[in-house]
Amino acid sequence: MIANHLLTWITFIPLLGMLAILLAPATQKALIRGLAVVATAIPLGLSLYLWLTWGAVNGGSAQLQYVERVPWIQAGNFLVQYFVGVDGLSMPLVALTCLLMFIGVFASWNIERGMKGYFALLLLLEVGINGTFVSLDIFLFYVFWEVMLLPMYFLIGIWGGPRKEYAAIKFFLYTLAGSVLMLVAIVALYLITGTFAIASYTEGGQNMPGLLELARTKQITGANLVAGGVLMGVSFQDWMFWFFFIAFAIKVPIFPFHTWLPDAHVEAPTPISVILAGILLKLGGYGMFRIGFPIAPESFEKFRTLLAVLGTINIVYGAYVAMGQTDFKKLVAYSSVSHMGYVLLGAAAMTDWGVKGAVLQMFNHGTSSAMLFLIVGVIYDRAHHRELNGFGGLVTQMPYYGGLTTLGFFAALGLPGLAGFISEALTLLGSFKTYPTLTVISCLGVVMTAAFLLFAFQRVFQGPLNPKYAKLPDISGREVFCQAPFAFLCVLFGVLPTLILDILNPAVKQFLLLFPA
Amino acid sequence: MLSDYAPLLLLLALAAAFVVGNLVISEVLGRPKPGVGKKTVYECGMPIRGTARARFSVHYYLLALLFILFDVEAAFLLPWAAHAEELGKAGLVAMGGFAVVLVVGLLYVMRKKALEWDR
Amino acid sequence: MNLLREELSWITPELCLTLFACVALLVDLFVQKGRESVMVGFFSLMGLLATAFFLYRQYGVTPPAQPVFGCMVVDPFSTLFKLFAVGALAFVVLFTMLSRQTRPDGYGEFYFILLCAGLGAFFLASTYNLLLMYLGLELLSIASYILAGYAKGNRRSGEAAMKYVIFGAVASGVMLYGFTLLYGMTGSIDLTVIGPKLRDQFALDHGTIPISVATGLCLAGFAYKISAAPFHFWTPDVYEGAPTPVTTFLAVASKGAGFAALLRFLQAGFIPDRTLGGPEAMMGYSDKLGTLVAVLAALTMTLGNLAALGQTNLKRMLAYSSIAHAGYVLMGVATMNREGFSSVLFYLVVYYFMNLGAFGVVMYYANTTGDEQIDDLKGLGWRSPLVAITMVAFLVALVGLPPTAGFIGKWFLFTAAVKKGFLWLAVVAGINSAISLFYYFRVARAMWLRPEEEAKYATVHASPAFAALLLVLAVGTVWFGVGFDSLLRYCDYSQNLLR
Repeated sequence: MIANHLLTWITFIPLLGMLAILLAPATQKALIRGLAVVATAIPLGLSLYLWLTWGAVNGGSAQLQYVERVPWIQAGNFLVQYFVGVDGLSMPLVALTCLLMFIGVFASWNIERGMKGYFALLLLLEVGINGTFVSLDIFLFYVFWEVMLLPMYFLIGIWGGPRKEYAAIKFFLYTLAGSVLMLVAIVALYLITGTFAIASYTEGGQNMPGLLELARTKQITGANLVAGGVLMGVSFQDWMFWFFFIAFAIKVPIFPFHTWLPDAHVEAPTPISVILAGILLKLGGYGMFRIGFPIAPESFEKFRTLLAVLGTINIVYGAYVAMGQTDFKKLVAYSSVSHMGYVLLGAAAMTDWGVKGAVLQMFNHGTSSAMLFLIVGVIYDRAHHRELNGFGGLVTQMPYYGGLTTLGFFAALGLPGLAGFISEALTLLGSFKTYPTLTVISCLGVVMTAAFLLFAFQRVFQGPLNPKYAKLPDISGREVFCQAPFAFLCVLFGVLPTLILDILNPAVKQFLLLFPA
Repeated sequence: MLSDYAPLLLLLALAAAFVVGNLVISEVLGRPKPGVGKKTVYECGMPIRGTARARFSVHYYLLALLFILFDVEAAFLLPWAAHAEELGKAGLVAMGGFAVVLVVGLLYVMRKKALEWDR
Repeated sequence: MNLLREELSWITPELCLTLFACVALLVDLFVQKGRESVMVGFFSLMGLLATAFFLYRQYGVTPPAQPVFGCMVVDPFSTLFKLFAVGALAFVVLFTMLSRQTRPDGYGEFYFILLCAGLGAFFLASTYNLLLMYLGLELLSIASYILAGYAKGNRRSGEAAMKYVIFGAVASGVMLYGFTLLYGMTGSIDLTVIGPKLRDQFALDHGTIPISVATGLCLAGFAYKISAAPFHFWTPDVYEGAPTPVTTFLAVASKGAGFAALLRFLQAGFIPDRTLGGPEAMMGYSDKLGTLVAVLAALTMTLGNLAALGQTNLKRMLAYSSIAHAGYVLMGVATMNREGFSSVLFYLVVYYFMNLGAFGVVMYYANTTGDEQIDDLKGLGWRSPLVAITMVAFLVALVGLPPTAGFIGKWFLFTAAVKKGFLWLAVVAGINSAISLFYYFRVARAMWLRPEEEAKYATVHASPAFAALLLVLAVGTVWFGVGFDSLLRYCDYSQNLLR
């Protein structure tokens, strides 16, 4: 029963957990924490099962797995399906989500005020994220996509820092503005094709082509909606492309839509920053790979050089701005902007390596940035500020913390032997074929990333010990427990990248097939 | 098509011309001869007594309104009365319903003491 | 006698409502002082229940084309709107019973007038007869004027009533003028006769100026009733000044009835029967009318949203939001086709849940604190979590985010508009939705984002009955966002005007 509905269980167990938490009395703090742990641990276990049995189940094929499809809303021609499934593209991200949420619960152990609401919202967030990753129906995708916004707004807005209200509404407005464009695009797609299914399926022995299949075979021209498929001098497909692209670009975030990110990160409490950087940004990238690019293949072909330029700007600009930061968390936030640029660059390159690198970069950034934000959280909990220049020499006072930080920083700056190196190298190698100049410029970003991370390390950990912090306790067992999985994954996928590349390979090949050669 | 409305326009113009014309003619031909009678407010030819700004009791308005309200029912009852036989039972029932609603209203008015002059 | 009985049997719901309105009035007169509030409210609810029962029995029964001597139409469309009105009235009555804002004396009249207003909405929704439509409109409007000024001695309430009367009188006068022009052109006050006559006139191709003038005047009257721009100016003042239960009634039932009449008016007179194929000129005119409504829709939602941004009073903010929502609904009207009209019905049902809920919370807040300022809500979330959580559900639905009914409602409006070729309108509506987030979430921000210590008012727990009402509405709001297929079919079935 569980194996048949594996994705449903992964998605909705947190919802059950949320309801349980809402019914629990607010005074029973241990019970609420326990429920949150259980409600995130079960999906984690299931997703581990998903990962470990992946090769055995599909034998390396690119087909969608664990597909479930039942009609959800059916009235006349209007058919929305509960249509879920995973392939090599989404499965690692689902697993990453489950892991981050599980860790997120432990990282939130210190939350006291309104903790019942906090954990309930956290679990609702998990429902939204996992639901988005597994949806194969664009209506369902949109519903889950929006479900994420509300918990995020409150999590930043209630438990955030001093400018939390500004950051929360900014995050909400930016994302909503993007998703409204996506909604218009979805409406138009539905009116053209009459279907919401992203992937094809068979119904009663009949093949029902999904949106991607229709796009690949050039059946989405919009000619039946607007005359000639051209609206205000711009082809319908281009409209589609930009609507989806902007919606996802805001989430990634791609320059110039990135300005919400530093605010949201700086104001959000540590666990929420971790989740924001670790998974929410990946949703933008995932959306592009799953829907945004393949739905308008010709437009993508037309504009991909522009996308590559945007990706390069992200890499270099993000790193450049990060260099100027004195707030530890803001620095890490801008490093996220920089790292997510690789995703766009690799995707725009449209080579096997480039795309593979981009997808892998999403996963690896999920682990390394989560670790970085946890590292910031540790010091913030102790010193109650994040001013880089206010620290110094902490490595003697907190040796274990210093050691973990070293690992996290090196993973983020792409040291060979750690995960970040593999994905960045793959991306750059892949994009060099298509965009040599841009790739060379992007390499500058690698150097700058190393520079600002090492400079930050120097200011916090080396030099004379700031006497104010002479009595700081070292990293606690719980904090180590939170960071250990990410550290482990950074090392594991740095040494044995084939473990994950074997999963990505078929999916990436399949993805490239969606585009005209 | 618009020309269909030409007579209407013509009528409008004629009416306006009549009014304006008369005013102009009396202004041009007549000589002003003001007198006491001419300067007073015209009120049905009766001599004026008192000021127009005298205050009435608010009950007066209330009673007047109620009077009109119940007076109008006659306008409905009379036609029915004239044809009561032809309308038969159906008419009786219909008018009965109408009367019941009125009675509810009357009861309400009485209960609220709106018909009592002094209270 | 038999004829009478047969004809009258088609208006049993209306008769029932009239009967209970009278009963409510009498109960108030003869029940001992101090107990009338509960008793009259109880009888009103009973009446509404009985009316709903009769409506339910009528649903799906095929009546003669136009029963009651050709005055009324009884069809699924009108029944849906009547059920809608009864439901809204029931909530308003319940809110009033649980509210302390209305005057302690004069309960009987209040419920009586409320039920009469409902009766007006009934007639407005179920007639092709212009005269009866006008009478229904007036019954509804006059009752609303009194209700708006019901908080006697309250200056703002008095101002609200006065403004409402003046605006209403002008608008209904203008509308009546439009009706007379239609009568003059066709010699009939029955829309089912006017329609074909207009068709003939279009066929003669005499131009559309007289028809345009008549339609424009009529539309002005409807626009006033649904508070669409540029006839919306009364809305904020009246909504703010009127007692909250009355505002709820105006925002939900009155607006719904206005839309019902508007749809029926447009359908009967101005939409050519696609199967018969109207004259070319009429097709063109219908599309032009649709474009005009589309422009009005864009104007209405933009004005409403922009004005709502600056509001500090919760009720006034919701008033502007209701203007904006009239704009969204007009999107569906602008399509002038079956799909669009069906989406209008769907959205109105959804709107019913979320707006009743939002006003319910306002009433709770005003009752417990006597305050209606948004900023003073701060900390309420921590003090009264249940009320605040339901409020968030209503706000999310009003913005139009999934997984609430507000999203689904907007979805169908958007789809209908885009399909008709109003892509620009859909984009305008989308941008407006994003804007609306900002002011709706100022409420959420005040309730939850401010710490409990800043709370201005001590906790007053919602009474169980009140909490249950809010919960019902919140569950409805979320439920129709997830399992809406039955509602969709229901609305589609009720949309029997256009084939």
